[in-house]
Amino acid sequence: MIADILALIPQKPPFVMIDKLLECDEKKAVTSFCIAPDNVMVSDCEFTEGGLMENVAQTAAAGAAYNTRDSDDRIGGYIVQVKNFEIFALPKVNDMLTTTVEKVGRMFDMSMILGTVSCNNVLLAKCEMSIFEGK
Amino acid sequence: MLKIRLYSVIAVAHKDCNIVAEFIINKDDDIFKGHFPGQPVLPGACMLQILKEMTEAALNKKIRLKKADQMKFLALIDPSVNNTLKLDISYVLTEDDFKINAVMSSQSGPCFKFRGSFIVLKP
Repeated sequence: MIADILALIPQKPPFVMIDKLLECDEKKAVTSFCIAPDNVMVSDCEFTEGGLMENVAQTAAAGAAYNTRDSDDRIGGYIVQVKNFEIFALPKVNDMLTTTVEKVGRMFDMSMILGTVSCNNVLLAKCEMSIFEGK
Repeated sequence: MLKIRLYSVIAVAHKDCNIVAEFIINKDDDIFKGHFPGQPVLPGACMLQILKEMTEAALNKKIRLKKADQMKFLALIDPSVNNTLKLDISYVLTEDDFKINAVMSSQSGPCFKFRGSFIVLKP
């Protein structure tokens, strides 16, 4: 859907943890990400827990930016809280991740989302996240 | 590993299931060129990895996050302003995992709180 992810999110290399926005509407965003061997969040050929968390956060940021692409407001995105972040397995270098973020609530400048990360239809991680989307 | 490239450890004390570590963030790491351009902020994702790496080093075990019940990011750390951080970790080892409570702080106060469990990986 959107090839130029750098136009959407505030993060820039080497801290970009999503490649493409595959689907997006008001409620849901889906991204893909191929883990490069030289990714800064790779350790011992595995994409780390922090990498997965950032991948979810950037999926949420890309979705929020896409939905407000016609407005002049450039929204930031800081993770404020993460709850029930469960990891079932860590992906390996060259794995292709599919990440889905569903918006479950909003309070002032804070968005609450549910994120899941999978690889080849196997669930790797899930979490609840609160993201500050003010400036 | 983020150690060496992103941070260097100044001191570690490990006693009675408590680990206290002091470390310095390398403000020139490339990570800050992307997070964010012109506005360096230590990523929460890196705080979590620093916690994991410090715990692994102190226990001399390879571990993996099983579940973070709660992580709170309480303050933004700009490494050009605050580059000396402290990490307090307390843990309880059970049969198949270990539970951790941890707080990372700068001189201005806590920036990251963690409560959750890790599993110990077989060597």
